[in-house]
Amino acid sequence: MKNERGMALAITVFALVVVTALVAGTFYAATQEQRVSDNSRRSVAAFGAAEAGADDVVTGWSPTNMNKRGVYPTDSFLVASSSSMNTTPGLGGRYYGTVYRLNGNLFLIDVTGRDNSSGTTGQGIGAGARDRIGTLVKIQPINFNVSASLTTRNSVTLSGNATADGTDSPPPLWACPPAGPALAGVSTSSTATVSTNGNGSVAGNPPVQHDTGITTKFAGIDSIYAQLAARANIVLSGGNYKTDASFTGTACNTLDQLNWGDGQNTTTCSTYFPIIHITGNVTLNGNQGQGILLVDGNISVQGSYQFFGITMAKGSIGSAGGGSTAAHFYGATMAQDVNLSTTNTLSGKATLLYSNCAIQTVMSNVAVTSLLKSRSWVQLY
Amino acid sequence: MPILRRHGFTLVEMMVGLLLLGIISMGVYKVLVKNQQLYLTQGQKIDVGQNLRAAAAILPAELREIDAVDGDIIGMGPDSIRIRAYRVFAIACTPPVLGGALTGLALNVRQALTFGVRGFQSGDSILVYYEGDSTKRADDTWAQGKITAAPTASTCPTDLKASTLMTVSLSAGTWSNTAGSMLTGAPVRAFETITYRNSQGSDGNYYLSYRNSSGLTPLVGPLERHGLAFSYYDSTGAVTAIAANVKRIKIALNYQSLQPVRLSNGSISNILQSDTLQVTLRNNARPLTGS
Repeated sequence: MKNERGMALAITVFALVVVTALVAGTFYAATQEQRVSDNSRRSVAAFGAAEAGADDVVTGWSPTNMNKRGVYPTDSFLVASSSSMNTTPGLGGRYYGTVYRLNGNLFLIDVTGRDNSSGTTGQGIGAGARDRIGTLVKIQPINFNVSASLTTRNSVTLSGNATADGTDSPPPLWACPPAGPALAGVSTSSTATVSTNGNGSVAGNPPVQHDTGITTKFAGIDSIYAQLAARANIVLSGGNYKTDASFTGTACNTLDQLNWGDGQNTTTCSTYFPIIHITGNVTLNGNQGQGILLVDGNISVQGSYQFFGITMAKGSIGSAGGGSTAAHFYGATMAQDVNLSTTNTLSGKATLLYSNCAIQTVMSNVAVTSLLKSRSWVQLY
Repeated sequence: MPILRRHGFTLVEMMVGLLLLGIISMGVYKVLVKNQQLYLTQGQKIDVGQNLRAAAAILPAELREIDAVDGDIIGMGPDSIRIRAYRVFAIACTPPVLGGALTGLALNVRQALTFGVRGFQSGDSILVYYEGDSTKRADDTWAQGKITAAPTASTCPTDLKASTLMTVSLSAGTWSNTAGSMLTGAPVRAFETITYRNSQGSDGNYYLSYRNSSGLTPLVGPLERHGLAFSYYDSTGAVTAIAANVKRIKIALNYQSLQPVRLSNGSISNILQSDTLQVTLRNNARPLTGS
């Protein structure tokens, strides 16, 4: 039939084109919107990951590893690399970054967070959001205000071979800077007496310091004591203990409550500096320990016990014997009520030696970090 | 009957044809008009959505970094906020030497550890970290100052790495002007004082705008006439009117489309959309524990 006129086909095609264009346009707009929204979501997730990562670095701060870092630009600590990122604690994202030591006690934590989908496979290829933030942290300083080898509020009697010496004495086998100025041998109240019998002696600059502000000083020490006790690694009730380094294989066994580190620096426990809190009177009879020793009651040291670091007792400190080793305490000793004497027949030395190096080393190894007092958070670009 | 006989349409055929054409044309026209309306509506909706996202990216980023406790909120009202907005962060390799005059001090910062939306500029307000007694936390603060001459490229004295050398003056504060109180490695921040508010643009619409030393700049919008509201909360979650107590800021934004569109109910008006953002201030000074 030749009579094939009309517009039905044309109109249909036209209508179809219009409808298709409409649908395609809507799809395009919707897809774009969906992509933009997805990007927004990812960017928020990446920011969250960065913040979680920065917090993770602070909470996982290892004093023994971090506090000895060199200052930027000679040293820095890689938290994780961009090719091998850490997962955030809530598994919501991943992060990588670097910690820079800015000076003696300031660190900058530089963390970049990425959302979970921004991986190397699937949807995230070539895409993914990132956000970079920084936090400033400071090694929390603890100021003991050490002014003597032995600081006390009461009278001190040194007999036998007992010595309190304020000369800065680095512990044997410790890597220490040159010795600093000497402090007093004994610092005590203005009314207390320091007496020596037999070969007992006091040395330092001056040997005996009568401090009228000693009560105020102990009030300050008390608050530090409470803070440290709250952070103690080892808490023991009063009693008679023999402590020494112990191991799991060759690694230092820090789960052992009677492993107080190795101050003689011959084993892997030489980098373990616990805070030890004893809630009663304690008698220490061999062998050694290091770190911070907090005793709620009296300390009595027998034989050749050696302790490296800071010793604080609420009660008195007494010692007997001395064995074959040269000293009982390296660092600083503080006791609110003291009677120090050697009453045994051993010819060793019951000695308290001031050691700035021991104090500083212990402090840098137990110090935790905290965010700066203010404006510690910074958006990096 | 010859096959090739010429003949015309009858009137009835014509009328039926025209009627059909009219109906079809009307349908096509309606589809096109709807299409146009949909397109316009979608376009406006997308614009509003873009604005929403832009504001959600900008405002929290600016507010997050302020320290209300130390005076970074200079003024706050129900529809505007005046803050110190941080622009550059850097680490000093030569901090200002204290103990003498507080003007004409040299401040050298590492380029490798400089971060910001721009570089340091003459006239910038700065904050330099003040360490004081390094064993104490209580005296740690930030000393405020100003860059008084254009920064120049230089090198750090100890390691000769690239740096930016500035001349700054510091204004006395709660810190003591004692030699050795600012250490190498001290963080430095530069900020500008800006106000965020809802203000009318030259086209008569209202925009979320910011005002700094160089004037008012519309940022995001249009918003409704009263489409920007700030609420301030302290650390307990209660509403506060004291700038130093602010811990969290809520921002309510009511957007409207630039052009009116025909809505699905047939009325013609602007598309309205609201959004609420909450920002917790990250940098508020913390209560002291210990020394």
